[in-house]
Amino acid sequence: MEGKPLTELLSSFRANVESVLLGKRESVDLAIASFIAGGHVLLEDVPGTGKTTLARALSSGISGTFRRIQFTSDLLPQDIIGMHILDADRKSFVFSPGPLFANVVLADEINRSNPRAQSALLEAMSERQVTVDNRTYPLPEPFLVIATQNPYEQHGTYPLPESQLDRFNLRLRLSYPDRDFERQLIRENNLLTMRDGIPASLRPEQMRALRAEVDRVTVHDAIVDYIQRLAAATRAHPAVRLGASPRGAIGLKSTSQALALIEGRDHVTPGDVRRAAVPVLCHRVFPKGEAAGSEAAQAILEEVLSVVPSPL
Amino acid sequence: MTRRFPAREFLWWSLRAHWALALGLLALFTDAARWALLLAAGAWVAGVTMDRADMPRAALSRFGSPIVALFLAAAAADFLFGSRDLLVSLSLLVLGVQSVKFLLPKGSRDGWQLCAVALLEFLAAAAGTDALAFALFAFLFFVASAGAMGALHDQEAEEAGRPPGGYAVPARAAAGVLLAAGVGGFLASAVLFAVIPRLEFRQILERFGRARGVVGFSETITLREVTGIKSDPRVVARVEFPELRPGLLPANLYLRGAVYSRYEDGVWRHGGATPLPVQRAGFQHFVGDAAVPDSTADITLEAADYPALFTYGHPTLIEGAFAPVLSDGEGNLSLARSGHPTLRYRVRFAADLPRRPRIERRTGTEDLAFPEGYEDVRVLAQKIAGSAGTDDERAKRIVRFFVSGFRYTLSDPASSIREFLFRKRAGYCEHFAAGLSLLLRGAGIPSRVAAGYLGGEWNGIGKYLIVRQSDAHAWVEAWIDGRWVTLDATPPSGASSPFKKRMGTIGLYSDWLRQRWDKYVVNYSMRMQADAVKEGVRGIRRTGTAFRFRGWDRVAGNARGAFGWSLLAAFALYLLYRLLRKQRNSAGKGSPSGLPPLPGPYARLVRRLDRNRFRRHPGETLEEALTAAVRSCPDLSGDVDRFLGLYHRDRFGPGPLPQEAREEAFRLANRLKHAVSDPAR
Repeated sequence: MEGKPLTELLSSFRANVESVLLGKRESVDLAIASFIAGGHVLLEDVPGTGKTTLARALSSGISGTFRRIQFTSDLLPQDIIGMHILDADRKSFVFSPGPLFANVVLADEINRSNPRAQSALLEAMSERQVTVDNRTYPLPEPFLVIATQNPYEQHGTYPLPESQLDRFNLRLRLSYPDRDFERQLIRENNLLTMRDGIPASLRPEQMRALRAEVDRVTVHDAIVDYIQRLAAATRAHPAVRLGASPRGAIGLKSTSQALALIEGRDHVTPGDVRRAAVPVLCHRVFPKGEAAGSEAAQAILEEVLSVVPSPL
Repeated sequence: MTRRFPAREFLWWSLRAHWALALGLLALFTDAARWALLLAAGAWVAGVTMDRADMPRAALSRFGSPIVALFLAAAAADFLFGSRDLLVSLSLLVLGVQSVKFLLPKGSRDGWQLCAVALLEFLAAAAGTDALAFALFAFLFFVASAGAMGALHDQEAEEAGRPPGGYAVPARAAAGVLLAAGVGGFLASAVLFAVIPRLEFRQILERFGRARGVVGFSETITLREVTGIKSDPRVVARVEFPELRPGLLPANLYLRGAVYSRYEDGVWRHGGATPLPVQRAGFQHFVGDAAVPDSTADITLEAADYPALFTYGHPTLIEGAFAPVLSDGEGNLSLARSGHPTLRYRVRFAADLPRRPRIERRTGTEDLAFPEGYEDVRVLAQKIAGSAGTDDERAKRIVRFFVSGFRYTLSDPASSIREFLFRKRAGYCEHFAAGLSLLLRGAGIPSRVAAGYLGGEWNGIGKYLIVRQSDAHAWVEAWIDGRWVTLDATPPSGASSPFKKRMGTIGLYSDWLRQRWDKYVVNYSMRMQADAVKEGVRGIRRTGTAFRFRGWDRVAGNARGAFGWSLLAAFALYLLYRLLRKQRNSAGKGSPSGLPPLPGPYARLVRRLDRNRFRRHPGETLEEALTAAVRSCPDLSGDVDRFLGLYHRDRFGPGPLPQEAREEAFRLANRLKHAVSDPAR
């Protein structure tokens, strides 16, 4: 495994994840792209479509540490990031790290917990460190958050605020599988089957090497210009209250680079940008009178994509 | 709304119409050798007939080059020994080549050559004419050209082994192309005509001394048959009066072409003085300094075979794009060479001269002498005029002599002056003028006969005077009180003459159109451009004041001002439109930057995809459009993948693509372009 080139590792990782999540090739590619680009992923859809399965598959593909936090309404910040406790032997407070101190963190049903617990994630996600009682602790590298939420169940949930949403690089919707794959699913599974037992194919240092590889993918000036025009167009759209942030544009570039790497290219094409645009920007576009990531936001993004001339 | 034009047949017929039209232009508007024209027309008919009958002509094709050589020799011989006219010889050669092309097998190459020949003919016709009719022909010609080129393009496709057949041309676009071709043709010929006179290109091409245009104004005046002239409704001149002394009516003005001072044996001739060029500055000719001008006339002379420059009253200044102007010092003004195309010039003149103390004429007195052998006339003159009173009073007495007992007739005039004065007492203007002049000379008053046109029809639409051949007139100028005074003894029966022709409203409008064409296209000059700008500015200023103080009534009255305003408004609207467009565009759109322009093969592929509606909006990439285009043919997907890889590396890759890879990408782009546009798909 040591001698294998990174691209081969990447394709085996991709094949493994796809074997778990049948018929979701596009979503898997995007999730992996965000993963190797270092962007946090938000999975969103109705229960039972494989959100947790994808999250577990992604995380178990890496041989680093993995933690899972089930978000509930009584979850407190210190349950996530950890706290100082008294060490009776040394008569001093020592830091007891919470479940956030892992390479991959799965935040399940993130919108079920209250804003206090949600915002505990804020610093961790963008700065990759946590601060407890004036002391700052760095998080392990790589550090990735995969969150899931069910947007259709409104009762007893706390929708993520704009600032929190913006920290997720990618929001994916896993819709129902199509007929053939669903038949296969029904045929092959029972209620006890767990489909996330994939072998770990990437070590944390390989993950870091991959991330460096992503950075080396060429982004032509015209592509940068295209990304900028896309982001500017979401802000100028008359039906938009709050458009895509610069962080979103950066995320779009990195995700496009990662997509190009997955395809085995050393340069980004306009097609990569267009593939990544809706998942990366949709949850950052707030239409007037609607929540981010709604159908309206998606329609606005599709309009922007069709109107802004792509470089040829 | 897309309609296919499968009509290859139709297009071929438009090709033939195009050729025939070019021949017709040549025949109507140039002096190309008629028999060569007939030959070409015959070859055209023969070619069409043979095409209809599907006759094989491959065997004939080897005669093509010898026949062309024969025509070359014939043209050279004609130029050297025959007509010695370059235009005729050249047209002989061109028409010979055309005949061969009409008769022998036609590939698309022959077709293109014929198109080129047709264009040559069109240009030759354009150089030889300036008529409005030609500009309308140009319309047809350009429309037919469009069809012809479509047909040839089709033929080329067939010869190259590509499937022939129509193109998917939206009917609206086709109509637009036709309209644009037509308007373009009209404007092109208008510009051509506006430019050519200034270059004096036409004068170079024209043969000198050729009879063209209005005939009938001559070096001499005799009492000949004039019914032909008086019934000739052709227009001689159109005159605008930008400035006219109060009290003068355009219809009462004498448009003088020549004066005849010498009378010999019943014939009036010009005086003996040699015409000399007058002083000039640029295109301003100083033709007289005896008067202070009080009126201005813009005269547009139709093409004529006579070199006379027509003027009113006592001219001081003539402005026109010609040089030199010759003057014999007696009032005869002429161009250096006889025969001219439509000519426009401005005359500043004084309608009358003030009475001056008696100044003896020093020159030309011998021309004004009383002819020998007319003693009975002299006796009559002295009897009528008497010896008492000034020259003015005596001249009036002589004019009054013609009021009673004389009648105007065109059908039964006297055959000589004597018969007119003493026996028959019936004649037309030339009798009256000659008789009056002789009687004045008999009474000792110097006089001469002047010829030209009296009055004309006033066109209220364009505010100008239409002078026709039937307005031709002769009158007398007498030297009284130190100046030439116009005297006219002819009874005013002209108005009721059966030969006076007047136009209806439609006629007036069409004549107005013609006048504008002559004014603004055929004889357009830098000076007129400057004038138009000045007028426009003045008009805007005037309407500006009218808008502020007087309301709209003056705006309506001032067509030029309204035109200026509407131009300004249109420009402002256009600017606003551009501004709005730009604002809408800048909403996140902008223009793609950071990329070199798309190389030709890629650009053509993109255009083809756009045209075939595979790329529906600007946001779509080439990749998406191409994938959509070849979705139905899996055999191409290998090519597409290979091409896209190379294309993306070329356009967005880290470094420049190696030359051979780039060439392969171009090759693939071309192949995919053809695959995409294949109508079978």
